[in-house]
Amino acid sequence: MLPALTSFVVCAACSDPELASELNKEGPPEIVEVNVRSEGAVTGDGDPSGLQAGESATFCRDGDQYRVNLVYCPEARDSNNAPIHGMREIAPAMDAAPADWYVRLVFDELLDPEVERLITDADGTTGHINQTQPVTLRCGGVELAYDGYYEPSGNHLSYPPGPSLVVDPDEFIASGTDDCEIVVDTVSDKDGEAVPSGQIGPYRFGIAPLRVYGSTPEDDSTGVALDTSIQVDFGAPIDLASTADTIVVSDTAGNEIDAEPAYLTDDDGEVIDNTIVVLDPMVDLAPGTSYTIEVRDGIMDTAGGPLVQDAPFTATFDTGEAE
Amino acid sequence: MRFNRHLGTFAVAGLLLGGIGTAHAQDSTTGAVRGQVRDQADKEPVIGATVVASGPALQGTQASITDETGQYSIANLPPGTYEVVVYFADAKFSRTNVLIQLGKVAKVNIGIDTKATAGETIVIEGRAPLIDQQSTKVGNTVTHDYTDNIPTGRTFGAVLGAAGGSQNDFYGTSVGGSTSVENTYIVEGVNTTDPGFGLLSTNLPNEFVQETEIITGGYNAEYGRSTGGVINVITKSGSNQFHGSVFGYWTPGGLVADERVTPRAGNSIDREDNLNNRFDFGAEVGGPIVKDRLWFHAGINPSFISNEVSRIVKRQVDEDNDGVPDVDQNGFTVLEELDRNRLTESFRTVYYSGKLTGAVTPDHQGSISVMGSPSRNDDFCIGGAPCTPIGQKSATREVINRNVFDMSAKWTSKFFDNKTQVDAVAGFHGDKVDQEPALESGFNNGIRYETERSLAFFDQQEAEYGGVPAGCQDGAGDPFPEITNCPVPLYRAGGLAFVEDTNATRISGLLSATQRVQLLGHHVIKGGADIENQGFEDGRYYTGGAWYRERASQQWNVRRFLTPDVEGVPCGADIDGDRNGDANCRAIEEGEVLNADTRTRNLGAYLQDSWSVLPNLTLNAGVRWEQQTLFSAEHLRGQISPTTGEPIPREAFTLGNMVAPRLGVVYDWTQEGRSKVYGHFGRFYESIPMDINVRAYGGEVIGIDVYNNPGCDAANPVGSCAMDGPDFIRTDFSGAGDTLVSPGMRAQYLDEIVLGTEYEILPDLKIGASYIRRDLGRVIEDVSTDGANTYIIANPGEVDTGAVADLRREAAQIMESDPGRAQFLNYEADTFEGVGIFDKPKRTYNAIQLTAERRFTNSFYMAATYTYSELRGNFPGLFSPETQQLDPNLTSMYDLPELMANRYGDLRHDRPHLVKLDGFYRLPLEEIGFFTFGASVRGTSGEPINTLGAHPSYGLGESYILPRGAGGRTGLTTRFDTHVAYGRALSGGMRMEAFVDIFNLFNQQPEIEVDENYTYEDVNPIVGGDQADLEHLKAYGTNRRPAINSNYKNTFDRQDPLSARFGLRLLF
Repeated sequence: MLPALTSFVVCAACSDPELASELNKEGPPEIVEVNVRSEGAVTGDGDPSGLQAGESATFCRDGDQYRVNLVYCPEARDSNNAPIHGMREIAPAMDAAPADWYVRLVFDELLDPEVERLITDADGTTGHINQTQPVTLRCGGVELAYDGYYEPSGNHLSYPPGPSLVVDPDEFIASGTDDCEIVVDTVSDKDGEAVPSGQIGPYRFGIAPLRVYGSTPEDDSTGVALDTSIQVDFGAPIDLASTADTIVVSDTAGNEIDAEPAYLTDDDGEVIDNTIVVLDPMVDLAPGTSYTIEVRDGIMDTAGGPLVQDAPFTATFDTGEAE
Repeated sequence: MRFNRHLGTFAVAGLLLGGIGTAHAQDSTTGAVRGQVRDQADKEPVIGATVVASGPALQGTQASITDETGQYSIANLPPGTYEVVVYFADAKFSRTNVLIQLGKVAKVNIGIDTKATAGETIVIEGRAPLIDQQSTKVGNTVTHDYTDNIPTGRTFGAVLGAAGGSQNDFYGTSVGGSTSVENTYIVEGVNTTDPGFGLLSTNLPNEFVQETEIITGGYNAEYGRSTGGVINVITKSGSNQFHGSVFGYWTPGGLVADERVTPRAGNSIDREDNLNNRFDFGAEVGGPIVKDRLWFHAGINPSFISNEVSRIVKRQVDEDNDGVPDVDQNGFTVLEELDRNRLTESFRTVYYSGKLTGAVTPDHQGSISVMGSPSRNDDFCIGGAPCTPIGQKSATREVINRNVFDMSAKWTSKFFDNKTQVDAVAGFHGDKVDQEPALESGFNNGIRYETERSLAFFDQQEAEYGGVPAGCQDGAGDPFPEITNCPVPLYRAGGLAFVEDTNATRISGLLSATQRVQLLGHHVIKGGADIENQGFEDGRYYTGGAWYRERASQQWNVRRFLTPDVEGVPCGADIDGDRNGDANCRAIEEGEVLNADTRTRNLGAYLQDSWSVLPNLTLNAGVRWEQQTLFSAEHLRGQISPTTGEPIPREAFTLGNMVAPRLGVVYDWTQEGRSKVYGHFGRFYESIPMDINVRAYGGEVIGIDVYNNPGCDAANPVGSCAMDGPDFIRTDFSGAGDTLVSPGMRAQYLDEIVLGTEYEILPDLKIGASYIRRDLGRVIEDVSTDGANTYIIANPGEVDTGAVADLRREAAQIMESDPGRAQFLNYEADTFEGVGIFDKPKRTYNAIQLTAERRFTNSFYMAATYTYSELRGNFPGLFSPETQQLDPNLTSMYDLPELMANRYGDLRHDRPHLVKLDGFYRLPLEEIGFFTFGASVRGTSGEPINTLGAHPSYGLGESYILPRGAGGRTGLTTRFDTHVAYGRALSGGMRMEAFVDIFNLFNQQPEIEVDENYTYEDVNPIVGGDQADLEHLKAYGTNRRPAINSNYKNTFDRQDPLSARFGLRLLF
């Protein structure tokens, strides 16, 4: 009890406590995580809300046992089992879709908000960093144009984590491109201190190869309507020409249905998703029949990235009875 | 068994100490007098003198014989005015007008002439000192002098603000930086605190109350179960004469000034409250049944309030057609009134009390009391903010029937020539609340639109108010086509939504013994033990079976209570290790109620010694031990827990080893009882209210169905939100039907230091200064380390690393033989370890308090306090002042780690300057009668303003966008109340008084609360951010600045306007 009493009396003069939820207020802004991910068009294990999506690369700060959201950050070791210092890459939890990827750089303190320009239009106010260009983004040795925004909110416990810079390439990069990198150039905190030189990068990462994320109808579906259209989700904008003979739907007798590949459109015929290829059969499917969707090699995305698969994707479904 | 053992310990202690000296101690229902009898000539102590106290409040007399130091002590004196008589050598020395106050010891030193003639009665002039020499307690005592002559509330609960450093909070009176829910209320020696939520439950009109002691700090070990203040109330007793009063009070609505309404931008519905009438009348009488043996007192006081609530529909204007609603020169939105509906609220309470006081002999006395206050409210105030009739009557109008009932039995016996005193108290407290919709249609599904919509959208719902005014129609003929004429945020439609009935009970017993010992001075040793057996039955449901919310984040949420669908298996999120996705739940259907019948047992014991080392130096040392056991709901016991996979035990958890030391010192430098310097250190443990039993151990699970906005037709969400539709996203589960308890969890406590001085600077006038520091040392809250899927009751920020390591070790050992169990153990270890990432709760109160008090003599009374204080931290207390969520130890404040950000700062009740001045003067006019002029003045600093947003899971106001208090402060609040009375004596010893109280004489209506919602959209906090950062805030997960609430920092509530109250009382 005496130590508690002593501490209590002494602490009458204590200043505010240090709290786990706070950001670092001192020194230069450190990068606590670099995360390359995609929040759109992910199917399969991804959350349909789109807020839990795949990562294609993540770098942890040296010495951190955990990265944001308390995900364990394993220590990197070399072949002699000695610790490797510096920002380190950890195994991605899941591949990001090659489309709509972006880089989130998470910092341990608030940045100078001038890193972002705010633009207000009829849709509201949004942030942009295409004028300030605080980082350099390259793929295949070519510097990429990008935009993005500064998100001052969040900490290492929140989702999305923050404060962060979100860097969003302006153009689509071919699936499977494996030599991208990002370098931090002109990022400073509110006191004007810059990111330490040891943390500016480059952070290297690759773009996930083109693959099939799923189909509609799904594999083993039954009672499928006879006027259904068949959809294949690639997670990247697809060169339609490459799908002409590579997406095949056939019945058990091997009869291929006749359909022209197209992008997913709305009721007015406007393309709403060029990562999904739709086959709308010329005639209704036969009732009580089993069909197989097969996606063969040769498909490419709009930037020339090829489909990569160990074996052709297949999905089988049964149609229902005629009404 | 444990309780009996402690009772035995104290009984033995009492026997061992018996026969050594005379007991003296005040307890929670009485006061005491002590002092020294000395020879006037040589100042030597007078040994063997008999000192007798008598007064109208005391049955018979109480006596004491001076010891070898000349000291005497008489305890167990009901509050009142006494005569103290010293008998020595056949002479009699009388000292009159000795004031005994509740819970205090009056020090009365008496000088006598030991050579006085036998049979002579010598009246000694003098006055009893104002200063309590025995204790370090801080606070004040409210007597009839105060409540009769100073404009104040009608009940003891309404006068608690008289204490220095106290202030109102949303649920009552906050003391010393603690929330009001942390107070303990003792009436007639019995704990009457609301068992369910910790609120003030029993309340009585001032006419029934003898004295109210408001203890704000520095109290000894006999008091516990409070980290706030202790409110100790003693009701009136009879006497050997018949006395009583008939009284009536009336506040006419016509004499209440108009409420100043602040227009709220973007809201076309305003509420304006106007009092119709507030009145109460009653009578109380006490007298002898058998003189000096058996007295009675009884009282009754019905009270009525009728309010007119005006529901005003207004429209915005846009004369320049720029698409932006016009504002006036003050920046307020210009609004045109289109329609006004007058609605009525009514509140009715009937207070009653009865008391029998009996004495077998002067040494063996007791009392039995009953009291209650059945009430019925019919109002438009649904729990939660905003409390306004923005919506249908069926969605906003409720009826609450409540019955509070108490019974107390107390017995005091003195043995061995009054050397030993034993007190026993038994009590019952009951508080039953039935809530129901006021209208039949209130049982339909409740719907809340958290997006802003035009009132015209609610054409069907508004039919009950006469329809949407034509001026609200946008479109053809609209004079302001570029704006929404009548926007409405947070419209409520359908039924009442959430309904809850509760029945709380507490049966308590207390036994204490007091003994005086002479050893290196005088010791007063007191020990006691008590038990409280509490019950809390709760029934809750959503009207219509589900509550529909259209979120600002473009989603619909449909909340339902869930219940088991498998016999013997509790409902809860599937975390039992099999991960088969089966939550074993089904939704509570319309007409069903989620019931929980729960229990808590409290044990306490204490031992304290008040050691008078010297006549002017007293050391108080004590230690209090408490234990609290919370039990799982009756219907869950033995079922398989979805959390642990094992049968749910009878005991949810036990908090033992609550050892609370108290140490104080009092020194009187005048040696005459006219000064003191004092200091006190104490630890105080919280008694957890039983809401947690219901919500964490009562099987509560809430299922939240989440839909994309198009999936529910806003005009008819109940019929259109379909789980088999394409826009159904998922069902979130909140709660697991059973709740883990973090290993090694310990009780919530507060440490306090009090340093102070008091000095009687003039006769009957004392001044004082004190420093008070109160530091919350540990908190119990529910936390979630898995994103609000399951919760743990824990000490946030604290981890029992040994227990976590044990779990991991055990998991490793059985990984191959029982992988499912091993997986669960690792899950538990992760969960318990995750508690460590939460910020440690902090709440520190530092205050300097200056006081001046003049006792009511020579027609004048005055009490003044000035308090300068700081209140900083990240944990305000047992409710959330920002959201008004009242779930003690179970608020959302610590639910998720990300909710912690920016919560540290100036807490809501940080009001640096607090000035209170109360007084009255009685002007005698001889034959005509007398006038009394009373006044009450208050000055209070404004409260900190927060910048809040919504959280994706927890909704409005849960995300602190900027650090707590970064939004500035509301302004200074001042208030001046007056009381003018005319009274005159009537025949037969009767007296009549007529009076008028003017509240808020200058009709000041400063804002006392502002809208802190910066945005209704989901946002993350900008940790440590400022206004410059705020410009760059983004809506959750987007690159879009959220829609800013145009009422941010706009006035939410103002001080009540000027009102007049008339009263009449006849005393006999």
